[in-house]
Amino acid sequence: MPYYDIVFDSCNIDDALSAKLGFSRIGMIPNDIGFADLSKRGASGEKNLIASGPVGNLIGAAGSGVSAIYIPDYQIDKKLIATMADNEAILCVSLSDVMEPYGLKRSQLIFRIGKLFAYAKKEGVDVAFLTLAKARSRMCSYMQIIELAKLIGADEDYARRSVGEINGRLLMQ
Amino acid sequence: MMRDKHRYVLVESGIAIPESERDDFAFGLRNALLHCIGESNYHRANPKIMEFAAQNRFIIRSSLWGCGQLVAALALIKKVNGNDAYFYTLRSSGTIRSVADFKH
Repeated sequence: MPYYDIVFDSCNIDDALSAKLGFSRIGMIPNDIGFADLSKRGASGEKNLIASGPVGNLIGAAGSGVSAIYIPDYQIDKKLIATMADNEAILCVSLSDVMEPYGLKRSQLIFRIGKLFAYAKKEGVDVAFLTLAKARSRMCSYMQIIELAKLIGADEDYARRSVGEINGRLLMQ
Repeated sequence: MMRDKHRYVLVESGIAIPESERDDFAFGLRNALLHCIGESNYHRANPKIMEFAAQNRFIIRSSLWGCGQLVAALALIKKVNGNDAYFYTLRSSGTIRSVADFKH
């Protein structure tokens, strides 16, 4: 199965590194897909992007049909998840967020992401496990992404589908 | 008697590991893994560095059960012996020869 990941262009990746880590392709922000922080402005007209920011703005973005939503604090907002389900927006889980903190903070974050993941999955929202890394030290191989997804609460099949099909869908749009 | 089933994982380190520091590195990595996996699961995963394949590559053996936990823990480790570190797991297999033959 082909696997995909998305990172920021500051990682300076090449095809050799992608192949070594086991990915068919690693997409880069902003070359392959956009990333919009909506904390200062509302939803833009662009569709093929990952939108991030406060929940109020994200609901507008999900309603306007963006491809993916990244919730920075991983809090569950039922209205946002319902809007995402209606518009088939993908929920992005950044694994570099899991790698960044240490000890208790990391455990609490994993618990919070696990709750959000379970709720989103129950409501029919597809969840994409991505690294969204800004540096090479925060990148992972496909095996590590799958195991971290399992740590969050996904089963083996869902984790593989997420890294393969769902991440691929984000890149191919 | 039941035979232990193992998995061998090829790991690439973000930092070079000179030959003279390999013992210290193995000790530091063991402590970091113990912290990430936890005491109650460490003995079941039973990780052990089998060989260094290059300056920045090594092969770790773990039990079949603990392989997933080992791979996840290697993604979460940020420091070894107080130095910044990061690890990519490139391949896992049931035989050491298969992972050692990995070409990338």
